[in-house]
Amino acid sequence: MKTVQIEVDGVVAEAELLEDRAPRTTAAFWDALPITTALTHTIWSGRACGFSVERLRSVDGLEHGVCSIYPGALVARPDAGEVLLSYGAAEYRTVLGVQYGTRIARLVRNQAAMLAVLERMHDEGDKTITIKRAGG
Amino acid sequence: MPKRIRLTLDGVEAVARLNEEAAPETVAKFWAALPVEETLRHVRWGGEAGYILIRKLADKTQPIENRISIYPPASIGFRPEHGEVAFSYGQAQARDHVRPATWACHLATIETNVDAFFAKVRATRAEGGKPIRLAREESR
Repeated sequence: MKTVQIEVDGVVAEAELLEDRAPRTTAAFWDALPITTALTHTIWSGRACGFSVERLRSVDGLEHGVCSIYPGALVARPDAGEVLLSYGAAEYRTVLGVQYGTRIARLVRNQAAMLAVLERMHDEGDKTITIKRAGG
Repeated sequence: MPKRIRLTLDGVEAVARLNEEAAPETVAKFWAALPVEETLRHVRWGGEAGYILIRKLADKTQPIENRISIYPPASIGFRPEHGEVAFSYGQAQARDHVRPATWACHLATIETNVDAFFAKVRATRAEGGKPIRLAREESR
């Protein structure tokens, strides 16, 4: 099982990749690590924050498609080179409406602290996210 | 003479004209609630807009007058069920976690200092909430 370490604003959490459900997308995500980039609150998808992973654009199509993004879930939209991480009620949407995304990972350690940091972004604005390989 | 309100967002001022003829009940309640001081935050579901909640105006039974769903740029939309006032600077729509599209009242349109005001609204996405004051223009 591949796991990744996620750090935002001094809070460190761990997520496991859902390789069995989304083998191509998780492989592209893993290959892109480590990354340090801007984390921005979504304006269409609810209680979630997003970041760019350009390497995901090499993945053709969706795997394990979902619309709802449950708290602690990471959902990718490869054609947009984007990943959303939810802290509450969230759904993958754009200006055109509800979309599907590929669920690629879920937080498995220190989830509550990480979700609290993400929720604060509604009041505090953008932050920086760092993701690196942890295990696997 | 149309009713107007003065908006002061993080030091930037603008004036908006209330759509009293098209939304008389909504404008009357809104006018009575002024002045209002709140924190403007960026919307999470509706796109390119900022919002405040005026909880004393929240009323799930109030009819929505002068209905819009897509917010025109420079518009001020009002959703009575939440007491939500939305300031749209681009592509935006009345939405929430339950409804991918719903209705709002086109309450007002900003007439002066539009670009500077909405640059501040846009900035709340990256910079977080900013203080806003809404007051009757006649009170100045």
